Order: sequence, then structure tokens, then C-alpha cells
Amino acid sequence: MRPAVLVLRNALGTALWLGLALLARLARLAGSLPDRAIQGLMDLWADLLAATTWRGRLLGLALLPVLVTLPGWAGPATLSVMISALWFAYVGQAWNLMAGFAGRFSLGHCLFVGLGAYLAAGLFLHHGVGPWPGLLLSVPAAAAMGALVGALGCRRGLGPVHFALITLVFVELARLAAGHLEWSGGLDGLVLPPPSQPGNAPLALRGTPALFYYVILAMAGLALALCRLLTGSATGYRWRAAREDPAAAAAAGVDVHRARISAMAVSAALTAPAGMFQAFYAGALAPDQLFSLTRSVEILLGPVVGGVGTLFGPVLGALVVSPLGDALSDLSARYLSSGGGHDLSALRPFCYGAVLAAVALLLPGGLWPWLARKLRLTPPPGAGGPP
Amino acid sequence: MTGLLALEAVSKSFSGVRAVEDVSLSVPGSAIVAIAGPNGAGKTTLLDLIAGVHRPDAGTIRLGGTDIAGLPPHRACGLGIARTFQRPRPFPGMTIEDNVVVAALLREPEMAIARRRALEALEPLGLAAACGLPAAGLDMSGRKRLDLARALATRPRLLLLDEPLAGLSAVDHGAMIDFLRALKGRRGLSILLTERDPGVAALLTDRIVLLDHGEIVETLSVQVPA
Amino acid sequence: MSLAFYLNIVTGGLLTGLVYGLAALGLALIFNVVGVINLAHGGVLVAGMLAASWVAAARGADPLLALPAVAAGLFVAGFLLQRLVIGRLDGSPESRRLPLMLGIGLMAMNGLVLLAGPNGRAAHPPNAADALSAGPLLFDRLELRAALIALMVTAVLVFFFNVSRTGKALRACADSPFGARVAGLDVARLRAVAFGLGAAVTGTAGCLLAQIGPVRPALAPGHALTAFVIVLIGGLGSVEGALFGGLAVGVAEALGDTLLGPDLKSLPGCLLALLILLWRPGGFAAVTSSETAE
Repeated sequence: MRPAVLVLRNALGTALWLGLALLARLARLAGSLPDRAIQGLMDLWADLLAATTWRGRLLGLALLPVLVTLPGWAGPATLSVMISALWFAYVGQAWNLMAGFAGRFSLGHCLFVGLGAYLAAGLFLHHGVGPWPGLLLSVPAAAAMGALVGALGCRRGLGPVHFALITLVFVELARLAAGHLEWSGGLDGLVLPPPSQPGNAPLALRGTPALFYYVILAMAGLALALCRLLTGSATGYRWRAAREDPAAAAAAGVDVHRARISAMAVSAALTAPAGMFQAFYAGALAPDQLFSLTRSVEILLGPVVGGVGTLFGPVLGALVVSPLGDALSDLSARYLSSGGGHDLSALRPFCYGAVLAAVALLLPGGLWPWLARKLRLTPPPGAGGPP
Repeated sequence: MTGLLALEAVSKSFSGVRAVEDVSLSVPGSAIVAIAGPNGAGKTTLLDLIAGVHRPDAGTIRLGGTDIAGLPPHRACGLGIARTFQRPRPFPGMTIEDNVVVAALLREPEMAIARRRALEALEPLGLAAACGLPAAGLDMSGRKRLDLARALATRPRLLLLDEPLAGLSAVDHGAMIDFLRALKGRRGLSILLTERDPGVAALLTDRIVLLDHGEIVETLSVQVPA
Repeated sequence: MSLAFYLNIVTGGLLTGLVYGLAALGLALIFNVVGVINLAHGGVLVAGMLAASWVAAARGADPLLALPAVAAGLFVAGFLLQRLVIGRLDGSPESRRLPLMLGIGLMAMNGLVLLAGPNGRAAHPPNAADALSAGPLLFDRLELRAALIALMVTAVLVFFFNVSRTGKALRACADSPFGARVAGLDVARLRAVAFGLGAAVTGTAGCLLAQIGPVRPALAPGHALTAFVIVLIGGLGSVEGALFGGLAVGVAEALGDTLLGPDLKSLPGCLLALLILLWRPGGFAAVTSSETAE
């Protein structure tokens, strides 16, 4: 079969198969919703208990009220930093699906964020579609895009380096496309009009920062739960096997190529809502901002620092890195305004680079495993807990 | 040629070097066949060809009548071919149990049942008790057994074992021989194994194929000691 | 538009393509021998450009005079970087090496922006912008000179790899590090040499590019992307592939610039890369070699 047809068939086939599998699952779920939901939550709870020692549980219990009541006691600056951090925790978790479970480093996740953002903003501005209904289009679109990138980028003979470079090419194409289509506002991008009434409107995603905070907090929590469920599922097992040793996995019956494509599709689908959130939170999108290497690096910095492939790594990493990034931006802005000669806007990506190199050299497993061991938050390996 | 597996005139070269040359052999159902030969004879390549890692340059490979030459490894596995590796390849970051669960998921999509099948595969190989430990911590004997458990969990019709006895201590050697002999009794399972020493191979089977420089030198029929 | 018009564009593209090819050659060389993708490629290129522009500005002299210093300096820098930093992760999985290379790349590109500012500067030699004509074709003198120098450097490299002892040792390293060690070669040192050489080659290409295009540190990621597209088209570790890819991308970019506008000039190259991946994932190198895809 001609290669082009093969690749498209792979991408389409996996996307369709995923879609059908999802529908089948949802149908079964709907049939037994209450039981399934309760069982699922109980499983998750049991998992969480198994994954933590009493210290870990204590820490979790202490943190939870802090997080939930944050808008009540934190100032606007802190709130903004926390929203940013949680956003990166969410997106990092999605990126982690691909890197940690499919074993492929994507340098182009800003592609899916941008796709979600542009679709959300565009649908709202041009067609009056609200943010949540808009997801019905943007999530499958992102999944299809992810499947395409996976099908093309994970072909036989293409290694992780090829994949990384290919994601960069896709980002560039997206940037060019967004910058030259009328629907996406061309080089100026899109701007969402300010809300017509003050006050919170969760369904329209307009309101105070506190609203956005709770939305992203819920999203981050759901992402965490989803990733945990995926890890323990049959698909998750196949993903992990494909990542650990593709040849041995194939010998055990795992279709490694399809596993990688489906991991990419799910990762992309999970990322799209973050784009939607960004569009409505920031209120403006521009192609050069959204589709840049720095954006992609910001997304992967959390998981890499926190620990690729672990459950809590991306969260920890994002909570550590995001405030630092904001502080650096602040620093360079203040330097500029106080009359300093140099434009320090490159300082932030420079520091990101330094952090990446340092982590790669010194703490490749990431911060979370090290911290968890030191503080004894999780049981030692072999007691059957998740990473 | 009848039987479960039939190779006819299979050849394979890599960059001009002929690894396997015009090999024909057959493996009947419920039998053990050994391929014996020195290092570099092409034993692993032959297994790789059957398992789908490489595509033969010439010849046919049939499993139960179906042409399987060139099928990717996961498809071959789906059709009932399982294999172990010369140097065992566990999934290092996963537990012993999870290693086998991955394989069991091929036949049992439900996690709970797959887990049960995995433990059933680990039990006779003595790994069930330690199943929650990371696979990376196993010694050579443990890794070989894990490889085998993983292969068996896919409920194969044909088991390809690449030097299953190499690197084992005397005690484990004997235990593995006993286990493999017991496997032969299983309905519907055939084993094709490679082994450097024909004498050792004779402990397991009566059909030994001698391979050297990629070609079949001789096919022996030996009396297996009781 | 007349045929001559298009011919000129294609020729100009081929000339620029030779320089792009040289830059990508450095990248391919590093990937081939050391096995890492030099994500600092853009930074190295811009470093070469900046050196050339500094010579032009400060001395008012021909920026090509910067070449020997650039090549030597970048060789040493690359050698040390591989020897002291990157080489530590030799044998580590890609999941560890990619973040390191990414980190180094970000530091290089943004470090240059911090030092030199994101703005542009000129790097044209004193007697600039002459044109030579040959029939219907009009050659930009600077482009022609840059392309010829690129061609010469490439020829020297090819000669070096095939004839000299170090060159052959490097090729041995690339083919089989284990075999090379068995043969008594100091693989770690050779890898450092390869990295230094690749950096020097890329920096040289940067000097050449400085005279035929804008010199702006902020453009480093764009240059890097061009090089990545080239090696994707040509085949990641292939030297001939880098050259072919360079020519292809040079022409694609020239056509894109003229037909679609300067904003979209990277479009044809990117599409070409994706098409090649569709057709032959190994790139041009896989097309020419007789190995069937396994």
C-alpha cells in the first residue's frame, strides 16, 4: 500500500477505533452508571491509599483545604500564580501521558493547546458557541491531530529524535496556518470581548479569577484521576510495555505502533481543554505567542523537573517551576521599566534551559521520586503501589 | 509438509551476509524440536524470522497452513506464536506480575481476569510469591522464568525458546528441563528451541536439527532418556 | 513571469541551499558520530553570524576574515561541551539526553539574545551587492562567493572523512562504537572531536549566511528549524542527505519567498519534509541506499 495511504489509514483507523472504544465504554457506563461510578471512585480511593504512606496521606489532607480555600485568603498576585501553576500541572499531566507512557518526547504540545484555544475562541466569536459545548469539537479535533502526528512521527525506523523534530515542524505549520487564515484572525490573532456583565458565569467561563481558579483546580484534579485510571487500565499497561521495551512488547502481542498513536491522541485530546481555558482566561490569542518553542518547553518543564512517567511528578514540577517562571518575567519587566539597557525577556527561556540541563544531568528521575523517598511519602517499590 | 509449523527454503541475508540459507523444517503439533548449532549459526535469526522480527528474503513460513512470513511480531503473537529471548528482556520498570499481565491482556481484555491468568502462569515457575517485586531485581534464572511466564500467558500454539538453558546454574538447569518436558504434555503446545550443545538438546527432545553457517547440516532423531 | 525569472530564483535558492546544506552538515555529523541531536544548532549558527557581523562593523573589513577564528573557537567550545558535559550521558536513554540537549539549546539561543540583544545588524563586506551575469542568469556576487566557499568546505570535509586517519576513525565510531573501542580507538575523544567539528562547520556556515541574509539572534530558532527540516528530508545522520536536503530547502524557500511572501517562506520546506516522511521515513539517504525498510 502506498505509504501516504498507510499513514492516513493508521491515523484514521486509530482515531476511529479510539472513538468507538470510547463510545462502547460510555454506553456500558451509562447502562450501569451509578455502580460503575461508585466502583471507579472506590478503586481510585484504594489506589490512593495504596500509593501513600501515612505521611503522604497527612500531607495530602493538609494541602487539600489550603488549595480549596485559596481564593479566600490569597491576594490577586498569588491567585494568578496559582492559576498558572495549576494550568501547567494540567497540561504537564497530559504531556506526561505521551512521554511517560509512550516514551516519546513531544516538543510540540503547544500545537494542541493552540488548537484548543483557537477552536474555542473562534467558535465563540464567529458562531456564538460557548466554551464547554465547543469542547465537543475541539477535543476530537485535537485527538485526530494527535493521531496524525503520531502516525507520521512514530513510523518504523523513526526514533525519538525524529519524533521531536517532527513535532517542531507541525508547530511551525500550525503557526503559519493560524497566522494566515481569516477565521483565526491572521497575524493579529483573536481577541475575546470583555464580559457584558460582571459576576460569575461558569457556563460561559466568564467571571472573577476565583472562578477560573476553581475551574482549573477541578480540571487538574480530574486530569490526575484520569491519568491514574489510565495507568491501571489495559491500555495503560500496553503503553507502558511499549515504552519499556518495544521489541519485547511486540513479542507479547502489543501493537506498539498503535499504542503510541493512541497515547498521542489521548494526550492531545486531554490538552485541548487547556487551550480553551487559556483562551477565555487570557482573552486574547496570537499565533507567534501560542505556537512557539518556548511555550512547548514551558509545558514539558513541569513533568521533566517533577519526574516523567510518574503520577504526581508533573504536578510537583509545575508548582515549582511556574512560580519561578513568573518571578523571572516580573524581574525582567521591572528591570526594563527601571531603565535597564538590556531587554531581559530572553532570561526566562534561558533559565528554563539551565533547569532542563541541570535536571537531565543531576536528577534524571525528577524531583518527585527523590522527594517522595526522602520524606517517605510513598511506600518503597515492591509494596505494589503506583509510581 | 504437514504439522503446526512448516518452513520451506527460507533464506535471509543482512547486508550481504547470509544468515540463514535455504532452511526447511517442520514442527508437528504437541512436539519439541531443537535447533542445535554453534554461535553464529543462525539459530536466533531463524526464530526472529518465524516470530516476525524480520521478513525472509525467500521461502515460506506457514503456521497451521497460514502463511505468516513477514507478519509483524504482535500479529504473529496473536496467531499463537510466543517467544523468549536469548538474553531475557523483562520490562524493568514494571513489577513481575505486571510484566505477565501485559501478555495476558492479549487474550483476556478484562484486567481482573488477565491478572488471574498472569498469576496462573507465574505459579508453576515459582514467581507467584514475589510477583509484586520489580522485575529489574531478578537474577538470570528469575528473568528466564519471567520471560517464559510472559510467553506462556499469551496462550501460544507454538513456543519459540532461544537458548532457554543458557546461563542457568546446575539446579535451575534441571528444574527448567523438567518444566519444559512437562510443557510438552500440554495439549496443543509445540516448542521450537535453540541450544548450542546437541547433547543438552537431546535431554529435551527426540528431534534435533543441526544448523551451521545458516544451513541445515543434519536432522537427528534421538532417543530421549527416561 | 518569465522562465528567466524563475531560473534566477531557483539558482539563488541553490546557492543559498549550499550554505544551508553546510550548516545542516554540521548537525548531521554530530548526530552520526555522537548520536545526539544538537538542539543548540541555531545558537551556534547565530554565533558565527554575530562574529562575522562584528568583524564587518568593528573593522570595516571583509567578514569572512572572522572565519578561522569562528571555526577554531567553536571547535574548542564544541569539543569541551561534548567532552565535559554531554559525553557524561553517553549510553543513557534518549529520555535523558533530549532534555539535556534541549536545555543547552535554549541556553545557547537565549544566551546570545541576552548578550547581543535581539536586534539585527549588518554584515556586508565593503564592496557589496555586485551582480554577475551569465546569459539569462543573474548571480548575486555575495551569494555566489558564499556558495563557493560552502562547496569548498564541504569538499574538504568529504576528503577528510574518506582519506585522513581521524576521519576514518570518526566513521568507525559512527558505524560501531563498540567495534571502534575494540580496535583501540578513544571513542570519547573522537566524539568530542566530532562535536567540535560539527560546531565549527555550522559556525562557518553562519559566517557565510551573515552576508546573504539578516543577522538577528532572535532568528536562531528559525534557522534551527530550517536545519531540522533539512536533516529530516535528507536523513538524520547522512552527510550526502544534508547536502541534498539543503539544496531542496534552499530552492523551496526561495520559491516560497517569491510566490507566497516572506512570512510563508518556510511553508514549502515543512511540507516537503512531511511528504518525504510519508514516502520514505529514512529521508533521501534511505532512498539511495539499498536497504529495505525492516
